[in-house]
Parts: sequence; structure tokens; C-alpha cells
Amino acid sequence: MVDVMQRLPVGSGFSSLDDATAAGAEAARAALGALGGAEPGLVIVYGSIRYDLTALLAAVRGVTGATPLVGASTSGQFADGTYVPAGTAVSVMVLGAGVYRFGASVVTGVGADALAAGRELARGAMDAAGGDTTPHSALMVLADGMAGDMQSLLTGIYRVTGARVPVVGGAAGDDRTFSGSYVFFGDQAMRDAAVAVWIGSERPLRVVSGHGWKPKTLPMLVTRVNGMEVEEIDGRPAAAVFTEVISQRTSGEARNFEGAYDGWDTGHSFGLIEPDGTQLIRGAFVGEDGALRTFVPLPEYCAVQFVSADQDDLLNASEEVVDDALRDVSAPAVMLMFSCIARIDLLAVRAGEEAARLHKAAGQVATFGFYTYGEFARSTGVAGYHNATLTAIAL
Amino acid sequence: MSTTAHPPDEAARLREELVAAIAATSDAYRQTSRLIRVLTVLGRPSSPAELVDQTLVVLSQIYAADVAATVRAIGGRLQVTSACGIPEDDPAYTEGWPLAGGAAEALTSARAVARTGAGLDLAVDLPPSMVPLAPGSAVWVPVGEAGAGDELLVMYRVSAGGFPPGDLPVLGSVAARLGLAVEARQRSAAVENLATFGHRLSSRLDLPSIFDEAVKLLPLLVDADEAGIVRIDGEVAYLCASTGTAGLPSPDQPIAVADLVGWAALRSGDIHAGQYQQLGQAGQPDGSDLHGSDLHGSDLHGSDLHGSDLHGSVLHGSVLGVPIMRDGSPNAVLYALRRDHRPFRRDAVESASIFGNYVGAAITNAELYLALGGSESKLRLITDSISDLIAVVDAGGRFVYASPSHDRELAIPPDGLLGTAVTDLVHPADRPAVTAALVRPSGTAKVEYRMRSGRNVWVWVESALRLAPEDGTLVLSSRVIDERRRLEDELRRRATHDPLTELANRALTAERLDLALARGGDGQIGLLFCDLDKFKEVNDRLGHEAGDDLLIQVADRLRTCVRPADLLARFGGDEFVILLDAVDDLDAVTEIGDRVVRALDAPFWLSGELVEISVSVGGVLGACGESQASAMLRDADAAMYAAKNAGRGRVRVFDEDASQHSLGRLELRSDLAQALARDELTIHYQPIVELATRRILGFEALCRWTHPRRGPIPPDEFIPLAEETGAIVGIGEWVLGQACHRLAEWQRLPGNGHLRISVNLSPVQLQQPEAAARTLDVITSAGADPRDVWLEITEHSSIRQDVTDFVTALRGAGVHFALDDFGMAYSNLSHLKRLPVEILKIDKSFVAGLPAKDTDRGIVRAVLAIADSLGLTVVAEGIETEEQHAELLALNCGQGQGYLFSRPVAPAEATELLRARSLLPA
Repeated sequence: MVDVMQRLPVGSGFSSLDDATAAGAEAARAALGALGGAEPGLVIVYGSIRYDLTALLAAVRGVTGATPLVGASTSGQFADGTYVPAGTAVSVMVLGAGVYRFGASVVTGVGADALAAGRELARGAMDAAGGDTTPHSALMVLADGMAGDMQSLLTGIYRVTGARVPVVGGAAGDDRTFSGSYVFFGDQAMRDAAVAVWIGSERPLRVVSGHGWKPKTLPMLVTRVNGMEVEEIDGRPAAAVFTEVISQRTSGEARNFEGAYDGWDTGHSFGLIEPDGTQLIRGAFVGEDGALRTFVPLPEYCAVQFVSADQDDLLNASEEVVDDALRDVSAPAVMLMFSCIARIDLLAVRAGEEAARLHKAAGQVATFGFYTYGEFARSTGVAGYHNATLTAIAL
Repeated sequence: MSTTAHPPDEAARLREELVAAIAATSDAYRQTSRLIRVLTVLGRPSSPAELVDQTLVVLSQIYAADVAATVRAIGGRLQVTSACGIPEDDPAYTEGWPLAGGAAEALTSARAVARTGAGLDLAVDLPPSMVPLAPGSAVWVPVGEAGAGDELLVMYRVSAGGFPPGDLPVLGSVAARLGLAVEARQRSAAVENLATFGHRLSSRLDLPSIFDEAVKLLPLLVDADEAGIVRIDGEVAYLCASTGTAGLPSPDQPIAVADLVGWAALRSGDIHAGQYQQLGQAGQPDGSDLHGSDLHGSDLHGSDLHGSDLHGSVLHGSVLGVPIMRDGSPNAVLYALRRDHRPFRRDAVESASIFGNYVGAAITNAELYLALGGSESKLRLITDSISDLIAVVDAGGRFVYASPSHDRELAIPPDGLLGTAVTDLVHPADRPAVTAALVRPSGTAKVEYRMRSGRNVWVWVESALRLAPEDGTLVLSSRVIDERRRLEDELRRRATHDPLTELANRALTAERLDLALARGGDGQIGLLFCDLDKFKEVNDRLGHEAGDDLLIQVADRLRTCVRPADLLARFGGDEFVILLDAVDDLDAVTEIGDRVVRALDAPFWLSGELVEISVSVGGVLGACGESQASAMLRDADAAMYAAKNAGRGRVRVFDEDASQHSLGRLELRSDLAQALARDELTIHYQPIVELATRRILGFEALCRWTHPRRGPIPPDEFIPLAEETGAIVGIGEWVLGQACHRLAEWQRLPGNGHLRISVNLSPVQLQQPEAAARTLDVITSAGADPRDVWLEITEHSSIRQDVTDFVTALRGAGVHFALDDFGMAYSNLSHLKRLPVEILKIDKSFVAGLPAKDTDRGIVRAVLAIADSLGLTVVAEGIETEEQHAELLALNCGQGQGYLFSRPVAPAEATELLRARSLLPA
């Protein structure tokens, strides 16, 4: 079946007009126009929270009609080599119908019970796609990551889908204001919610990830955790250990996050040591109260190394992710990508380079993505929530 | 900074070594982290199912396992019981797949088995639906303690990285701990359930609702899908209740007992746990005969359990049968069914066995309750001693003959009766009954009525009527039953009232509360639990008499607080309870609670001084048709404790804080299980004396519990708890052993060779298998002569047939029996004749009324008369004053015990009393 797959028709558009209705309509028209007359199967919308999101979605729907629509608010977007900084624009991608079987669903109450929400979300998406009927499938998930524990959301999804369905996606952004993020479903923008798209396929689907971070310390054990606060590492106050690590930084690898989290040294993160020896990245920052915090609870007694990266490490990793995503995929049309806002901070003035290098590496394949508050890439086992990482799927 | 310069190749070598060292450290950390992370999950509080789920998620994370699952071997197949990585609708959960390959090897060898690459046979090593995942490696690890059985932890990885041999011991340890942790969680859940369920059952007093409740609770207790209960009547059984309805035999449809599932085991009192297949023959409990297609054909799935029945024909799944024994054979059988063939294991069997005991006890209680209501013959013995009145009445209902005894019994000369209509002498209220009896004598067994005596007072008479066929006259054989009626009334009143304050007691309150709650509609019932603060201080300082006086005065004041429809009760001690009929809301309950608090504001005049006392009140609101009496009582009690803790003299209504007290009871219950092992129990001995000489005849052994934090716990609080949990069995045997050992020591003191020991026996102990043999063994092992041991059983337990067997067996070995607390329960005298009891102990509440109260005196006299006629010795309990002593001597009571002679004392003090030879007046 692999070789008989036809190429997925795709089209994207973008608008930075100030008026939500005008911007939505302009971006949607451009995307639909680029589809070349193919029947639309799924609309993906990434928008800045500067817009009246309801008006924005209504305008997009005015163009794309009843085609299922999912999306998220962002902290910047990128498409086909263009970097769209936070707080400026809306990007729309339309995927054609008939090649993949799409099914979209939404769930609220992520904060109250992320595990249950994950189950409901996966069931809904599978049902909307008419069940798990194709030989292969994947799930794209966009979530309000500020609402709840994203790994629990993935664990809930895993209960329903099992190991055969990889998951890709990202947590919505809010132009780095930390005022609250949204996911889009149909004509609604929702908080404390998640949307998912079941992608049924005749050929295998792969989800990939990469980050470019390198371990800077010896392994350590996180010995006490209290929710999002890391209290002890190797039995010592965690904040002190973290500060020591930062103080040893070499020039060029340290950056402070521009915005709400002053103490967030985006140049250093936790790397959870994975069973295969790689690192799962978890951002960390020292809060005003002097406590070391993460954006998702670390498991108590997990083995970690502090990791850091310079700009070239990050950009090289981006290219590797593209290569990995395209490997052994016949007739790919688009790569849906999810990159972390922390990477932009590290890249600083070179922020635009990532989009360009992704585009270049992808060749004829379209690239479309946004800057997230956490990325999903579940391919082995239940673990699949990342920070400061780039994740992707090629369709 | 190092200042030493290294040549370039040296630096490269050092760098390599550093990288290798870091990699090794990472690996070591990861290994350590793995085990600790699993242990952390295992130690976190959660339900058994959550625990398994969370562990599987962590295992998937730390071993990068695409699938982590627990599976169970059932009837030659494997079924997934919980999984991380297998879709929730996968048939691996419901249908399973044949047990073979690595799983079979792991189960057979009871060791972890790992397979990788070509070693992995996709055809047998994984569920069919998982084949497309194409795992490259797998590991199977037996769960639970070595050799425990049929459950495996399974992990699959898509990569062929494999699970290296070094991982296997860690995984073995993880799986073992997981098994134990789940078991421990299940056990504690079962203990909590048993505690709650026992309570719910014991609050039921009629058989149908006990049956309904039992089948509702059993599935929750043993994790079953359905349950039913059948009652055995000789060779047939009848279904009394079940959770399903369709397809089951109707309640009046007999089932031959031989057809009952598991009858072979059940008939001898054993629990039956097994598997059933479609065609209905009993399988082995291990399911080993269930291999093959007949079990796994289409009939297994989607079929309706309600289409099956309990008597062996169309049943499939696992079944658990629990006999409820009486007289050595099953009186009823409880069944639990699981559709999915998971066998019932030891924990479920143990829980079900205890639950069966609860149900049995509840059935016995309900029957006793019934018996009380319909008891005709209860006090027959007393009336036996009274001469009959014989009269002949003509067809018009007039006396044509009256025996001379009429003069003696009714003060009516027989001649004066002739020609008088019988009904003319009958109380107007009783006339219809007597008239009806005269018209249809054959339809009337006996009639009881009031008759005007020659002294112009109403006298209760009972007449049997017999028609003389020749001339149509009636022969009336009558006797005066005044005394009996009064005693019955009194006993009935005592069964429902507190003798000191004349208020309703616990039993009557529970009955009224049940009635009120059963009323339906949307009415609400309030309940106030009132406990006097520092009552004990008053008792200790001013004496028991003053304490009693206070309780009477409090009762009088409380009477002014309640409305006519409310019920005021005393639950014993200083606990008063008010049942508020038809209240609007919790505020109304609080308002009456406040009234109670205010009513006790003014000081009390006691023993010549003014005493201030306050009361803590707990309130609760219940909804008719919804709330349960037992829960309301418990919650009100808890609220009262909350009020007390908040600082006395307050009202609290039930809320979550108060419910902590309920938890306190649970805690007490679990502490009790440890009390014996922790040496917190002691035995005190109270002398039993010959009343005429005050010579010590023996001692009654009384168990005491000093809780490490709460101090002494009263026996009437911890003994029922011990009975509920079954801890009484161990405690009872310990007390008996200690007491017998002590007796043997005392008998070696000069002049004490015939000393006896009395030990209380709980009904629960009597229900243990081999109870008689075990009891005798304890006595003889302690070096005591069985002939010097007196076992005290309560009237309540004496009614059970298995008690008769127990008593008969031990009596044969020389052990003596005393009936304790006589007069407190059902006063079923007929049992006295059936049991080889030699002593009746008159309850202290009757003795307390001596010599002042006529009714008490009457009862004591009646009991002494009955005892005398049956050749029994009477021991009076609770003798506190010289007056009571004198009165009992006057009534010809031979033996007694009480504070007047000695309180219960520690063993050393008891030895001193024996050396002093007798107990002089205090």
C-alpha cells in the first residue's frame, strides 16, 4: 500500500492584518487558493492572541466552511521558511481530503483530570474518523498546556490508542505573556481544553523529535519534588545546585527568557535520562521565592543531567529532525512541526534561521508549525511530553 | 585549574575515559532511579486498580516499553487485566489468547523470562491484535510472591534492544512487590468493607431485607458481578434474593439441594470456589478442567448471566458458594458469580466467609426478633404453677358450673356465678373477643381477657374452650395470668426502656428510627446525641447514687425540651438521644440541641449541694426513605464527639469533621487486632461469694483493655468491636487460658481446692470450627480441671442450636455452664430446659432495683422460682448495698457478686483476698 499513496494536497496562508476578521479571511483565502481546487479535509489555524479569536475563527470558517478546524494560539509561527514572531499574525494550513482519514475532537476539563481528558479526547478523535480502520494511524494533539499535566493527558490517550498510534503536537502559546492560551475547535476558542486529529493512513506514520541539548553535568538524582517545585537534587537544595550549574556556563549559551519569567535561564534545562541514554528536556527556572520550578512535575527520584545548548547545536538539531521525519516516507507533502519558545530565546537574533533551515532541509516538502509551551512526540512507550524540543510528523 | 600539561594523545585518552565514566554513572543512576521510582509509586496511597495502572505507566516510562501490562492465566488462556499500551477495546482484555511461549515458561518456572529478536515467536508470544506492532523484545515476570500463581507482568518493546539479564532480578523484585502491594490494598479495602457491611446487615431485623442487603453487598466485597442467596429447607432450597431476576427460579420454586452448585462442599460447611461451564458440571477450583473450546466458544461472550441460574444447569464463570450453617448443616447459601472466569482467591474466600457469618448472625437476630413478637409460651413456666379454673357454660353463654378454685383465685363463690353470663364479667374492651370465642369455640385456641374479680378489680384470665358434643355446652379451662401479663409487660418494657429514667432505650429508639425512615415521602428526621460532660467526676465525687439521681433529674429536664411526637431515650451511661419527628432542616435540629444545652444550664441539687453540669450535643438530619438508621446514629455520635472536642456545652451537627470520629472507631478496630500482641490486655477477677457466709466460691475473669493513647476502653465498647472483627476468638482463648492457669495456681493455696473460675464466652467464639475441642484444649493445657471451669454464655447466644451442641460436648467433659445477664434479652425460658445450664446470673439492673422496686423484686423472685423448679443455682450480679444483700438472702438467693464484696481486682490482689479467706463487709 505504501507506494500507491497519492500526494496530500496542501495549502497555507498567512496574514498580519490588524483586524481579526480581515486577517482570518486573508490567511484562509490564501491557504485554500494554494490547495489548487482539491477538496479540503482539515483546516489548521495558528493565531496570535492579539486577535479577537472568535472573530478570527469565524472569518476563517467563512472561507473554509464546515471543514473540520483545529488550531491553537501561539507564541510565534513558521511556514515554508518564514518566521512569524509572537504577537503578529495568523497562519492557516488546509490539508486536502481523501488521502488520509481525519477525525477531530475536543475535550475540556484538562486541569481537573488530565488523564480522563486524554481518554475522552482520543476516543472522540477515533470515533470522528470512523474508528481505527486504517492499517496505520497517528494523533495530532494541541492543548492548553497551562491547564494541566500534559504527560497525564498523553497517558490517557495511550490507554485508548495503545502503542501503535504515535502522537505529535504541542501546547498552545500566548505570545509569551503567560496570560492564558487557547485551542481552537470549529468556531470556538477554548481554554482548559485540548483538541486532537486522528490521522488514519495506508502507510506507516512516524513522529520524530530532536533538541540539540548536551549534558553539562554528571548524572544526579532528583530526591524531592513537590508538584512543580524541585526541592532537592542529590539531597541538596535544588535551587543551589541549579545556580551552581548556571554559574559555570560558558559564553554564548546563557539567555534569560524575555517576558514573565525573569528567573528562567533558558540556556539550561533538566535532561531526564531516558532508558536509551538520551535526554528528555524539562525547562526550569528559579522563582521569585528562590525555589526551583519546572513547567511539569518531575518524577521523584528520576535521574537527570543538566543540559545546555548553543545556537549552532539547536539549528543543527532542527535539520536532523527534518531528515529523520522524511526518512523512508514516500511522496511527503507537508511537515507539521512544533518548536519550543525556549529555542527562540536561545537563538535570539538568529531566531529566523530555524524556519529558514527547516524549509531548506525539507526541500519540496512544505513546513508549517508554531512556537509552543511544550511539545508532544510519543513514539516509544508512554512518555511523550517534551520541553525545548522540536517535534514533527511528515504527511 | 590544572597546571600540568598532557601530551595530546594522553588528553584524548583521558577524555575518552571521562566519557566512559560518565556513561557508566548515567547507567548506574538510571538503574537506581528505576527501582526507586517504582517503589515510590508502590508506596503512594491509591486503590488497587490505580496502583497497578500507575505502576505500569512508570514501567513504560523507565523501561521505554511500548506495552506494559498485567495478564492472568485463566483456563489455559491469558487475559490482560491492566495495560499501558494496549488499546482499551482490544480483545486481549476480554477474550485473551492461548497461554504458551514465554508466558507459559515464566509461569511454569516461576521466574522472569526475556526473549528478543528471533527468540520471540509473534504467533504465540503476544496477543494476536498486537502482532502489527511487531515487538522486537519481550519480558514476562511472575507477579506476587514466588510461586503465587497465575499472574504475569509483561512488557514489549518494538526495538530489539531486549531486556538484558541484569534487568530481570530488578523486574522480578518489582513484580513481587507489586503483587504484595495490590494484595495489601485489597485486604485493607476488604476489611473496611466488612466493617461497613457488618454494620449495615446488623441494622436489619427482617429476613427479606437482610437477604436483599446481603446480595447487594457481597459482589462489592468479593468483586463479583452477581450474587444470590438460597435458603435450605430439608432436601430442597429456595432462592430468596438475587441481584438479577430474569431466568432465575421464582422464590416458591424448589431446587433439589443436590443440584445446588458446590453442594458437596457446602453441605459440610465448607466454602465452594470453582468454575462452571456452559453445561453445568462442577469444575476444579483451579480451573484445570476447563481447557478446550467448550469454555471459550461463543457462549462465553455476550451471554447474559441472568439467563443462567444457581442450581447447576446454565452457569458459566467463576462461582463462590458460602454456607450459612446452623445445627451442623447449611441453613442458607450465599453465591457470588464472576462472568469473566477469574477465580475467587483466598482473600475473597476469607472475606466471604466472615460476611457469611455476619449474614448468619443477622438471620438469627431477625428470627429472634420475630420470636419475641409472637412469643406465646415465653412465660408458660410461671403460669404452670397456678391452678386451673374449670367452668361449664351453656349455649346462651351462662355459667352452669364453676369449680371451687374460682373462689380462691377470683374471690367469687362458685354458686354466685351460676346463671350469670360470662360476658357480664368481662372487661368491655375484651368482650368482642370473648363473645367470638363462645360462638366459635373450635376456631379459638385460647382467649385472654380481663375479668372482674370478687374484689372488684380486673384480673387477667386465659381460657381454653372445648365444646361438649352431647349437649352443646362449653367447657372453659381457665387460669389467672395476671402475674404473667405483668411480668411480660415489664419484660417488654425493660426490653424497650431504661429502668433508671423510664426513658426509651437503644432498641426502641432504633426501632422507631427505622419506622420513621421507612415512612417514605420527603419528610426529614432529626437525631440528637447528648452526652453529659464530666458526668464521671460527679459519679466519682458524690457516688453512684448521686450519679443516678443526676441522670433522673436530667431526664426530667430533657422531657421539657421535646415535642409530643419526639422520642427521648437514654442509651446507657450518660448518653441521651432525642429522635425528632418531622423536622424542617438542620437549623431546627440545632435549635432543639440548643434548647437541650440551655435546659441543663441551671445547677442541679445533688447530695445536698449545687452541681453544675453541661452537655455536648451532636445532631444529624436524615431523609425518610433514604437515610439509614445506623448511619444516622453513628453520625450523630460522631457529631457529639466533635461538639465535645470543641469545648463542651456545645451543639454540633454532623459534618466531615465529625466523620473523623467514625474513622476513630475504625482505627480502634484495627488497634484492637494488635492489642493482644502488644500486651495491652489484662484480666481482672471479681469474687463470686456465698451470700450467707461471704466465702469466696470462685472468680469471674474480666478482660480489660488499656489503649496506649486513649487509656482504658470500656468492655462494652471493645468487646462488640472484637466480636465484629473476629478478634474475640483470639482474645477469648487467651482470657480462658490465663484464667485457667491462674485458677490452677490458686487451687494450690490451702483450702482453695474447690475454687472455680467463670469465664465469659462470646457467641462468635462458639461459631468457630472445632470450638468445643479447642476450648477444652485451652482449659487442660493451662492445667485446670474442666470440672472447676464455668463458662458464661449469654441468653442471646444460647438460642443457637450450634451452642447446644457446643455446650453438650463440653458438659460431657465436665465443664459447667452459666447463663449470663438473665432477663436482659428475650427471657426465653424454654431454652433453659434444652441447655445443660446450671447457673442463672441475674442481671445487675434487676438487683439495682432491690429492695425498693416491686417490679424488680417480682422479677428476681420469679427467676429464683423458675431456677428452683429447674434445679438451677442463681448468682445475683451487681450487689452494691447491704440492703440488696439482705433482700437477696431473704429471697433465698444463694450466690452473688458485686462491689459490696469486691470490685474486679488484679491477680495479686485476688490472691490476697483468697488468703484472707472471706470478704467482710466494706
